[in-house]
Amino acid sequence: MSLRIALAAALLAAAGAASAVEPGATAPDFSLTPFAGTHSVSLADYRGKVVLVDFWASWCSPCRQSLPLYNGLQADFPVSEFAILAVGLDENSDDARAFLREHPVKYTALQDPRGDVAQAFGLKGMPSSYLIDRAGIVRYRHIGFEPEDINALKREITALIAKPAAAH
Amino acid sequence: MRSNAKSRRSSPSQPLRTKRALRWLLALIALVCLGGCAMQAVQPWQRGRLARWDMRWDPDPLQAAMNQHAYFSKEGTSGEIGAAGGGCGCN
Amino acid sequence: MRPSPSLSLLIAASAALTGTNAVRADETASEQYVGYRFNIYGEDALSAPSLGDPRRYEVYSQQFLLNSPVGDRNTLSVNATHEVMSGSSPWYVIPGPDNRPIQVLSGATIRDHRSAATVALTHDAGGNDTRTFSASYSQERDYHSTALGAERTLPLSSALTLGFGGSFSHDRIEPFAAVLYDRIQRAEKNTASAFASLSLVLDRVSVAESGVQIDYQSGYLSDPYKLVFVDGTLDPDTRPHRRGEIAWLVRYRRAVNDSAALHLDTRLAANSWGQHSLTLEASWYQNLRDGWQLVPGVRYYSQSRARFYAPFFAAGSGPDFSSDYRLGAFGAAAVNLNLRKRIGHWELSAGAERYHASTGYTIGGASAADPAVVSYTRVFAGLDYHFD
Repeated sequence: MSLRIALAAALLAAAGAASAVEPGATAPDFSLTPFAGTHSVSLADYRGKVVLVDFWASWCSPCRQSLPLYNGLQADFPVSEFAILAVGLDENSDDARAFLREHPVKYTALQDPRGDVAQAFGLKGMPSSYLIDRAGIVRYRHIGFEPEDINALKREITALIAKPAAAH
Repeated sequence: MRSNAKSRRSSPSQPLRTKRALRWLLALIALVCLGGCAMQAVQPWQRGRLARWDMRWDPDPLQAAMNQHAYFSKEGTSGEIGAAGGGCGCN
Repeated sequence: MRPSPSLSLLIAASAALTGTNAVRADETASEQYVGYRFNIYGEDALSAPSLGDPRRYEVYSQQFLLNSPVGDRNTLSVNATHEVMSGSSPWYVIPGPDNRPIQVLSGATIRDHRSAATVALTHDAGGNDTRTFSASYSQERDYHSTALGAERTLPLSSALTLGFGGSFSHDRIEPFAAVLYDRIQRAEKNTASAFASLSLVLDRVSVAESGVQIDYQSGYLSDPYKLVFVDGTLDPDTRPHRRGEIAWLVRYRRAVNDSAALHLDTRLAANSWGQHSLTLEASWYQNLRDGWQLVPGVRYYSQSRARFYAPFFAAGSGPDFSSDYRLGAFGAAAVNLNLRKRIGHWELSAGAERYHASTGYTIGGASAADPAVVSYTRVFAGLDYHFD
């Protein structure tokens, strides 16, 4: 009996893991509370802009490099065209706050302590970033982070900004 | 069955030991199943505790090396997971 | 090292399965830090009747470690050790009244030194497919050892990681006062090792690893300084020229809430000399306030005796015989405690270990043929600096 339940649970887990958001798919909408401020922020608020959704955590060592480098990336593009939403996945938000004090960011950092949004995106690794076009379609996905990844991101963002909103 | 019971009475220690060993084996299989069969996938964002310093196999490699060196020089058998370093005249 | 076709297929399949998902963010090797340790080891007086200079054996060790990222996703680790050893050591065993063994100790040796260094390069540290190549050298007045090693870890699924590797070492022994004491003048031995392990993420707070390690040694495996008592005469310690050993290891780590972790390690080993052993280790990592950490641990070890071990031998024994207590049956219980304090980039540590060996601790009980065993106490202190 318990074995059958266990098997079913394993199958469910395997099925759940299969639903990952791939380039070409519509980004799942979400609404989260930022670390700074009380009003929740939705992805839908950014429709019409190119958005980088980045998933990070204080315990993720590449994130020590990526989060500070994204400050420069945000500065390279006008805020009217490009925005970064950094989704923090620490279960304990104090850990995330301490990390942000050590590595301050000049873009929007959001709290997802239960990992609901990570689940919706079907994250395959830490960190993960998704580049979303003006129409809300995922155009680029990257897992892991190396400092030179910034250059590829810059190229993709430039190309997506150049495209008019209707062309998707 | 009956003869089995008789032999058990005549030498009680041997089958008892086998039974105990069998029970341990069953417990081990159950443990492996708990770990493997019914395991729920741990998602990438749920690995914060596993990434902690004190969750590493060897949190302090210098300390581990010195411990292994002391045990290696005192004991007749050795070996740990990982490529072994060089020997010494101590053993 | 080119992987076999089936292995390549396995690697490709696992890559497809997991994407670039690191099974465990185990970033040990990608950090930049330097560490220094000082360690004092002192043996107790022998637990059994002995003759000769009873100067206890002492070792003062210093370790230095540099761990740093280099180039494109590589990490370099340089480990240097220097030791100063002094004191007397077991030489041979003679039968006393009622055939009770009496250990004869060698005269106190003059100070001896050991210098060793290991250089290891890890590719893709903290990533998925990690490869480490290492080279070691160890030098004493009478002993030289050179070793090369390679290991690799790769994920098989999001929860399972395969590790495997091997190493080879070549050791050269040139005993001092060889002619005076009729010792072998020069000898060599080779050791080849291979291991494979599987580590599994059990749940959000625990991981386990199971591995097998195989060693094969050939060449001169005796101790050139030890003698054996054979029917009234003293002969050199003589062991077989080959030794195979297999060990099965299981490790378990569990995070207990956000402030503590439990470590459990076990090892079962057996070798072709007829010895088998059991090792059990447990430690508790307790994080306290203000960067303090307390790590108590316990260890138990028990081994059986080698086929050719005895305290002393009758006429006609051989061809192999040894009275080295490390080939006899004994058990050992150890307790250790480590205290750490993190201050900014610095980390201070201090600790001690008490290792108590006794033939009475042996699984299966003690016998009259058991050796005089050695207990020790260690104290250590260290300082680490983390660059980020």
